[in-house]
Amino acid sequence: MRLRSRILAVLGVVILAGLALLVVIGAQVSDFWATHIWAGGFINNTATLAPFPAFSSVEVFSLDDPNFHQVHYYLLGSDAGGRDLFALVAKGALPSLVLVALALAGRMLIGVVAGFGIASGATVFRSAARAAGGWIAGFPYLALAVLVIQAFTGGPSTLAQPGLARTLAFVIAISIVGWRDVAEVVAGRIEWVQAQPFAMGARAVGSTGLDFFGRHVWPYLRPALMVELSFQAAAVLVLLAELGFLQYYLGGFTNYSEDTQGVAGFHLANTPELGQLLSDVRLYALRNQFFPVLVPAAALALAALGFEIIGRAFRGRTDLPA
Amino acid sequence: MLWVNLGLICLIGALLVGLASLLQPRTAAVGRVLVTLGLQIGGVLVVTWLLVQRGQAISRQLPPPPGTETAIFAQIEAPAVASLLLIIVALVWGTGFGTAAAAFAVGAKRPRLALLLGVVSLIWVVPTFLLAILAQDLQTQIYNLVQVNVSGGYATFSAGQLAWSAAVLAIRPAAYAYRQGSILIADQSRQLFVRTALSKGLPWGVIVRRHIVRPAAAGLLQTGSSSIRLMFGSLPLVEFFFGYPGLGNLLLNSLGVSTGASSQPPDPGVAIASAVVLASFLAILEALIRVLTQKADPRVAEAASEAAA
Repeated sequence: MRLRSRILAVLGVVILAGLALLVVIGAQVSDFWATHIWAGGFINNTATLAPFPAFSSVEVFSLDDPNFHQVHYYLLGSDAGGRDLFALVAKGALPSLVLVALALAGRMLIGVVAGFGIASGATVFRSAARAAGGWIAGFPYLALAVLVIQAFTGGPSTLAQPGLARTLAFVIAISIVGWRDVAEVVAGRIEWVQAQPFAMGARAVGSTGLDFFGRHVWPYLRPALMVELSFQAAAVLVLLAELGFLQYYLGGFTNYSEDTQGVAGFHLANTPELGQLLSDVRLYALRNQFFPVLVPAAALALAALGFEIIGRAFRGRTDLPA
Repeated sequence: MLWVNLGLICLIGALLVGLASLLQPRTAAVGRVLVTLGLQIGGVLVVTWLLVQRGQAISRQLPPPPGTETAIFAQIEAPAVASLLLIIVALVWGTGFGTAAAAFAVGAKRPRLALLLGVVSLIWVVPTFLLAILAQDLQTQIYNLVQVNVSGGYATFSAGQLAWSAAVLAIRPAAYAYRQGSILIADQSRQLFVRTALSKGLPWGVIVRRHIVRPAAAGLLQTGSSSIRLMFGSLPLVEFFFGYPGLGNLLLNSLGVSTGASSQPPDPGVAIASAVVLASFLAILEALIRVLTQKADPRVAEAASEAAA
C-alpha cells in the first residue's frame, strides 16, 4: 500500500474515531440538558438570551418557572432554547446514523440488484435497469428526494411527532436517489470478469451460479463496493444535511417564537436528530449566531470527510488490471 | 390529465424516433440520443405526476379547480429563464473551471499545486447551504469594509444575485470535476504514447493538449455530465437560500416549503411543471454531452450504430 494511501486511510479513520468518541462523551450528558428549554441565563452576572456562547458557564432559568435556576457549562454553546449543543448533536447523531445506515443499505442493495440486471445479458433486465436509471438520473437529486418524501408524508416536517412512515420515506428517498452509481460500478465489474479468459475457463470446467460468483466475481466486486460504500456514505450524509435545511427531517419539533410579529420561530427538536438541528440554520445565520449552525453542520461534514478520505485512500487499489 | 398526456406524447415520440433510427442505421447515433432524451423527459413527467398526486392525497388537499393548468406555463416562464441563466453561468464557473484546473495541475508539473488543489477539492463534502452561509457572511464583511451592498438584493432577479448564486452553485461541481478530471488526466499522462512524445522532444504543453487532454476528452465530458447533475441537484437549495426567483425556488415553494412565518399553499401543478422543466434542462444538457462524447470518441458512435444494427 502506497504511503499516500496509508496516510489518507489513517486520517479518515482518525476523523471517524474522533467523532465517535465525541458522540460517546456527549451522550453521557443528561437528557435534561438536551430537552429542557431555558428562557435565558446569567454569564458573569450579565443577563443573556439563548443561544449561549461556547465555552461559557451559564446560570440558566427555566421558561416554565423563572425561579428554577441551574448552572451549566456549555462546551459548544447552546441552541435557541438554551439546550446544550454538544449533548444535542451527540444524542442526535444516533438516530441520524441509523437512518444513514438504513438508507445506505437500501441504496447499495438496489444498486447491486440493478447492476446484476444490467450485466446479466438478458435484454429485458438490461433495458429495465437502464431505463429506470435514466429516469432517476433525469431528476435533480434533491428535488427527487423531496418529491419522494412528500409522496409518503404529504409535506415538510410539522409539529406532530412522526411515525415509522416518515423514517421509511427517508430511507426510500435517499436509496432511490443514488443507486445508479452503484449499479454502474457493479455492472462494469461483472462485465469485465465475464470477458476474462479465466472466467471462460471456469465456465468450461462447469463453474456456474453462486460458485462462479463467489470464486470469480466477488473477489473483484468486493473492493470496488467497499470504496463505493465509502463515497456513498459521504453523499448520504450531505443529502441528509441538505434535506434538514429544507425542513425535511425525521423528528417532530416544538415551535419557539420570541415575539408575535409574524417572525418565524425556531424549531426545537422533541427528540434530537442532526437533520432537524440544521432546519433553523437560516434563522441563526440571519442573526449572526453561528455556533448553532456550525456545530451540527461540522459534525455531518466531518463524518462525510472521513468517509470521503477513506474512499480516496483505497480507490487506486481497486482499479482493474488493464 | 395534462401531465400524463404530455408524458405519453414524449414516450410515444421517443419510440417513433427509435423505430425510425432502426430503419436508418446511419442515424442510429443521433437517434439513440433522441430516444434517451424522450424516454427521460416522458418518464420524469409520469413519475413526478405520480409522486405529487400521492403527496396531495396524503395531505388531503383539494384538487385544483379546472382550468388552472393553462396558467401554469405563464407562471413558470420567467423562473425558467432565470434558472437557465443561473445554470449557464454556474456551468462555466464550476464544471469549466474544475476541468481546466485539473488540466493545469498536470500541465504545470507542480506536485505541490496538485496537492493543494486536491485538498481544496475536499470542499465537495461541505453541504451547499454552508457554502451559501459563508457567501452571505462574505457579503456582510464587504459591506462593513467598503459600505457597498454587493448582494444584489433578495428575492429579485439581478446581476448581483445571479453572480452570487452561480458562485455558490459552482463550488461543489468544480471540486467534483477537478477530482474526477485529475484522475483521468493523470491516467492518460502515464500512457506509453505520452512517453514517446516526450522522448521525441515535443514541448510539454503540446503533449498535454494533444496527447493527454484530447484522448481523455470523452471521459472528461462524462465527468462534466456528472458534475452538471450535481449542480442541478443543489440548484433548488441555492435558489431557496438566496430567494433567487428560479424554478428550484418555485418548486420548493409550490411544495409548501417556506422561508419564514408565512408560507404559500401547495400548488401541485406548478410543482410538477417546475420539476419537469428543470429535469428537461438537465436531460437536454446531458443529451448534448452525449453527442459531444460521440464526436470526441468515434468508437462510442460506432458502438451505438453496431448495437442498432
